[in-house]
Amino acid sequence: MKKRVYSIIIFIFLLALGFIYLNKVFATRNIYVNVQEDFKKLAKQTNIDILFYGSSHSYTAYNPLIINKICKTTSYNLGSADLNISLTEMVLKETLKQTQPKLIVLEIYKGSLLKPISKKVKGYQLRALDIISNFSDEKYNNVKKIYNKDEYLGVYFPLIRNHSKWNEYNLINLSRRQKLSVNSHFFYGGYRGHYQMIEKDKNIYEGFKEIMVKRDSSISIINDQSKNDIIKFITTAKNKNIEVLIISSPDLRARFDNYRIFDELKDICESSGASFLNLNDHYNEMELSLLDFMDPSHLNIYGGTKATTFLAEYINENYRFNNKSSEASWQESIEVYNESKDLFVRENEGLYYQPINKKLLENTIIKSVSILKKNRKNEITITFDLSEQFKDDFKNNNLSFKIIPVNKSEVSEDSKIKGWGFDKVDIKLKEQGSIIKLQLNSKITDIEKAEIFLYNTEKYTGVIGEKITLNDISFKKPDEN
Amino acid sequence: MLFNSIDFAIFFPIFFILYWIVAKKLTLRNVLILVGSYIFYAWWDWRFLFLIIFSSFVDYFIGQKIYNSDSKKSKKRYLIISLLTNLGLLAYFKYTNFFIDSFINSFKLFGADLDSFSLHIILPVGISFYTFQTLSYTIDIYRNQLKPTKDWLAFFSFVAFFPQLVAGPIERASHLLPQFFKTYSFNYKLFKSGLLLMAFGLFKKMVIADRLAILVNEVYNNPEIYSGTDLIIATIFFAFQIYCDFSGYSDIAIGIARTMGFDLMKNFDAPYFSKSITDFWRRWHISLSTWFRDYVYIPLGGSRKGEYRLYLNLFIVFVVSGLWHGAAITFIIWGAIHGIIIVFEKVMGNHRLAVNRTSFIGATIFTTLTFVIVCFAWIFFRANSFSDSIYIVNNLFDFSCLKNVFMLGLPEHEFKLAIIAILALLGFDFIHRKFNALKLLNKTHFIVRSLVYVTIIYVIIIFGVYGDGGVAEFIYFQF
Repeated sequence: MKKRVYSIIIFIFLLALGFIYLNKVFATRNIYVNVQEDFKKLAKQTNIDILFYGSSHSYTAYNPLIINKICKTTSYNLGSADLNISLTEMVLKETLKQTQPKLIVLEIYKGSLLKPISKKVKGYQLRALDIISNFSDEKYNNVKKIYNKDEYLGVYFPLIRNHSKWNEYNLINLSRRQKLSVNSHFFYGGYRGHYQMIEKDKNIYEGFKEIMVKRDSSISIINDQSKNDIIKFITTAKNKNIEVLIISSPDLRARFDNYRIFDELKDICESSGASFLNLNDHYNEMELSLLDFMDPSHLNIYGGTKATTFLAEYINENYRFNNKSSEASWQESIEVYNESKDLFVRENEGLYYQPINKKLLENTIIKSVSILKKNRKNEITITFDLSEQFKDDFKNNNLSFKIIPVNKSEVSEDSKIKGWGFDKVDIKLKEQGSIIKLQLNSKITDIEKAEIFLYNTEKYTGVIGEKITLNDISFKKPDEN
Repeated sequence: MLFNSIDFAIFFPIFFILYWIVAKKLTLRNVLILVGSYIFYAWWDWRFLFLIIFSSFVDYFIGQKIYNSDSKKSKKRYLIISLLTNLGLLAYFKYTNFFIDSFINSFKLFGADLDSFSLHIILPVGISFYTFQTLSYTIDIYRNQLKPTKDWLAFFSFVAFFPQLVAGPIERASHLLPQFFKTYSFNYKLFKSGLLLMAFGLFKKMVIADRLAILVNEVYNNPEIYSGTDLIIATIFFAFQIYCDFSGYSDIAIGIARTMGFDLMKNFDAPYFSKSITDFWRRWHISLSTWFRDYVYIPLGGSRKGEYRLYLNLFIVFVVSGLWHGAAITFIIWGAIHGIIIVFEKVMGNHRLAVNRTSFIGATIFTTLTFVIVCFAWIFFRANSFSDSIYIVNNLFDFSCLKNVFMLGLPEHEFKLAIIAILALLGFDFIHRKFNALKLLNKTHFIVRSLVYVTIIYVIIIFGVYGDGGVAEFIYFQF
């Protein structure tokens, strides 16, 4: 009997140990983990005076480095893709355990006010839910609101949620941080600045207006539940003597189609003691152009810089913070700012954009190529149109992008040593998605042609599939239509 | 309710605790089994509960009548009522549309074009199983092999006993019914081995069967776009899918019953190690094949009416068995193929073979040959239609449009895992037949045992396929 009890205890102990360990192994890796971990690290170093909350409209637009520089304080962006407003309030409470901000900037757009329905948007909510303890009542109430009963186990336990991706995890590496590609975006303080530019097409846009899209601007987005959630968010912050500024980020679709939401937000803010700023009313002051958007709803790094600068000045005028310029953490952020500031603005830029629609391989079609030239730096963006089986093409191949000059003496010293008549950059396609970013430093000014092709990852044994040649490459100023 | 569902994961522990609380009070325990079984069944569709109750009522009543009748004629009359009622319900729910289609098609052969129509009849889950189980009760009473029970509660619980209600094993009243008149004390060893069996069944179902199903469904739903190699791979995968699906269900059913102190009959015994089709049917769906032996083959005369009648009887049994599996010509062909091969084996049985089946080489050759025949017959069993099955057979050796095997629905890592799982299963079947695996496990230190149990649980959780938007149903529910 005694032995039997021991064996049951040992079994339950091993089962529980295995469960805890495997939930760590299978924990979702995503960029919000990096955001949260860096936030905790910074909160330990200093009190963070300005915190940004909201959706991807927030984290693609508001760069804490610029806020820190202009406001001489510390800030952090806790925005998370498509985060629902009721979960945002939960994240607020959780993060207020780490720091005591003086101002909270909450970005709201229509997606944050709708109940998540699609699998993708429900999945995004997990990023926030994962930072909350499984024993929290509030977490349970929010899970109940968003998920079906058969999804509960997956929501609560990463082991259940991610078990089918068993081949992507290993039993030793328990870090949940996502590896970031420096080519695809700039990441700091929760901010993610993208280099990508909106696909320009004169048939789609008239100024900022996307003329093809027609929506009913009279539909009210803010229902009673959402209104209560916004008020609850404001009250939670106000109870801790924190100022709340609610903002609407530049969003081409909202600007023209859902204007009513701004008026409704303004009314809610006025009645609850929060301020409201609609950045869609200030495109001229910010000097925004269509090329400052990465897509109709999100700013790219250049647009983000303009929006952040405008917002920082607004905050400077309306709120007061202690000067933190003597603190090590602030100085560190200014160092990063100085190192990276060239990335935030366009200088001597030339833009080449060419729709392609040609196959490299059966499942790998290049949709378009753009080259953004900044002095010697060429930021190459290749957009693919990928069929479902593209991963096989990507798994085994590298992509090479060659620039061949008219005058061979323009090639880099490195290329000259190798006897090449071109400059080139290569990228492993494994784990890349439908948009890849390449950086090529080259002093070539007069380009005869560029070539794109695939070759085997193991060894160069010749071109695999088709080679795409780009002739007549000429650069325009990005603001030109 | 499915065994691999969250609903069952909640239902079973509650039922289990209540069961052992009332285990010593026979009536209360049987009430709990009956109510639990009806809840289990009603979870799928409560309306068909009335069908089980009706079937139980008819056979309970007729069982008494047969036993109490003095004359053979009267006994026979009651037996016929039981047969007509049970087989009538089965025929109506399962075969009506098949008979209508066959009727219309036979007219087409003579040039008459009748308008096609079909009735919207839902096939009640498990009807083929519990019908056969209750039939065995009345037939055994008619044969004076069993006394009817006067305890309606025990009888109704026997018919609806939830572990084996929807997909067997098809129990005989003489084996299962007496167990409803006994009370059991909690037996830790039985409980542990029952749980282990359930875990093994879930492993077969969720890790192997449902994984293989992804590839099999893809290829069998679009056979025209796949090469011969792909069709062969899909057929081999289906052989293991159906084995793991069905034997997995049986393992879970036997395991659940065992945790309650009940004993259900063995239903599978490493069938893919069979050295002949005759051997295969001794190891595959044992409860059904013995049912057909006792209630169809023997009444037809068995081997008592001469050599040719024996062959005919065997052939009839397998064709009927095919029809039991499904109302389609493909199932009849599947049964007929097995019937023909078994007759062939009977004919050849009297001749000496060049290779001895018991030698290593002989065993390997005959096991492989049997597996190939079984797989060939599975084509008809799995194909979506007769024309699809003919297409697949005709194109098995057409290698003109070879595709990467990892493009058949299972990516490379899943495909490799499926192969490893199949090999592990075959390895386990092989070892288990020679040395009882449970006994071997019980000889190890309890920490090692605990580690094995925990590993099995996490292997199921990690590598199990939960199904898109829920859990996949067991294949044999449709029969």
